Amino acid sequence: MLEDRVLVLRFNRGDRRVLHRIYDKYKNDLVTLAGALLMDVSSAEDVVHDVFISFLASAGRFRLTGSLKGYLATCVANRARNLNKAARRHHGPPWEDAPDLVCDASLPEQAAIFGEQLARLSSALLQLSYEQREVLLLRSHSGIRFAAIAEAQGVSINTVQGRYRYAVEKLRSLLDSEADQ
Amino acid sequence: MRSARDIDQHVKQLHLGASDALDARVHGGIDKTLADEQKDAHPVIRRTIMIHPIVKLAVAAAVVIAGLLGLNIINMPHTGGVAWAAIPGHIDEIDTFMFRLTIGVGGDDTAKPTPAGQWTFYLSEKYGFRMDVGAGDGAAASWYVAPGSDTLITVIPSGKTWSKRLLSAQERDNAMKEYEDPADYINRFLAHGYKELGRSVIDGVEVEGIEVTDPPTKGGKLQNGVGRLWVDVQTELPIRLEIKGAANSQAVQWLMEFRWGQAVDPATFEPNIPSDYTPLDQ
Repeated sequence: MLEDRVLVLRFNRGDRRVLHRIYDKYKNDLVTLAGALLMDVSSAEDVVHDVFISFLASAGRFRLTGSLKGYLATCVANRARNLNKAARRHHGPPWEDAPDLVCDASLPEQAAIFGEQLARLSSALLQLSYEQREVLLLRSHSGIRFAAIAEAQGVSINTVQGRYRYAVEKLRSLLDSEADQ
Repeated sequence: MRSARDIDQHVKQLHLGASDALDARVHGGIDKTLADEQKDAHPVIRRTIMIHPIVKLAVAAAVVIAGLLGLNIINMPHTGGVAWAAIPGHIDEIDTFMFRLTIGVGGDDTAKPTPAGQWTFYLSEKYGFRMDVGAGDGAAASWYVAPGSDTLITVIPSGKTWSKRLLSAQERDNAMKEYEDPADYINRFLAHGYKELGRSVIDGVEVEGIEVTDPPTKGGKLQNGVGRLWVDVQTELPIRLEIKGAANSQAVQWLMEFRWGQAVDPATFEPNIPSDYTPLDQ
């Protein structure tokens, strides 16, 4: 992660050109996170775009510490949460045309297996509450610590851990029951 | 029956790729924002204007010294010019810093090289530029350039002489040709794939390091080349960069040590010319 340290160092010292590199490095992870939260590719890309433009504008006003990836993932989750709330107020959930999230496996056989499993997974994710899905994705996909998630969501760490456990149990139950059919 | 770890693994497999349209929007947005701010941010422009002459002068002075000492450093095979060119560019990141370059060559490729020379650079947007050649009890020669000036002051303690002259256009052109953005070098360094060295202590400073094989050089490729970069854990600034290897079956060692910000005394930038020194032809 030394490259991230160098990137953060340069960003904190005002070299905002490094955002090009930061974006290229984390764009797919962030689009995946936003897509899995919102279940809408177009909205996910809007969120990632807005996060980077805001990030750009913030240079020099604060010092970035900790994990760069974690910081960006938290920013994406915060914007996605706001977008989700707004969409619910006006139109209901924005994931009626949810995309199937595909895997990144390289072998054709694995791709077929993972593809099938992940199609079910993305469907199962929709059956979680937004808050549970957010905790699960931030923890399992983005690797953010429970304490940091709790801080970002403004809830206790116990609440976050409870949401995570519930999400895992529910997904396991859904995926196992489908496999048995 | 899936375990919680299985669920974690499934979630990690989720993948969406950013579209070309998003790439264009984000990269374009970054470029546009930076371009717009450049138009309005006079201090930033001022900083850029000031930096470029100093960077040019830094490397130009190195070329001057190479000629004076009969050392063709810039074209020395397999020691490359990368760090010569890249390190002065660190002025982009911090106002004042020092770096000391020690080059060792000789012996077979398993022996510790004999020190061939040492150069110490002091660079500051605020205070100017200074370069010392030589190590030990005192520099063999020192060069000074005040901020925003093209005048080079040379002090040679061994001859008790000093001089002052303008840098030529040729020297400035050479400097520009040799310049390389340090970020580009670090990116190339890291792009080679590295392994973590963990933490260590250098001169009482806790550092974290990485090691790359076949480190980038501007000249030929080093045989069995290894590069190590050590960064201060607290400040996240480079403390030491080491490159070792062999060229033409001879050991080569390249060591750069850094000091940043307040660790550099502003008085260092003031030419120290004792009253009994003789001025050479101006």
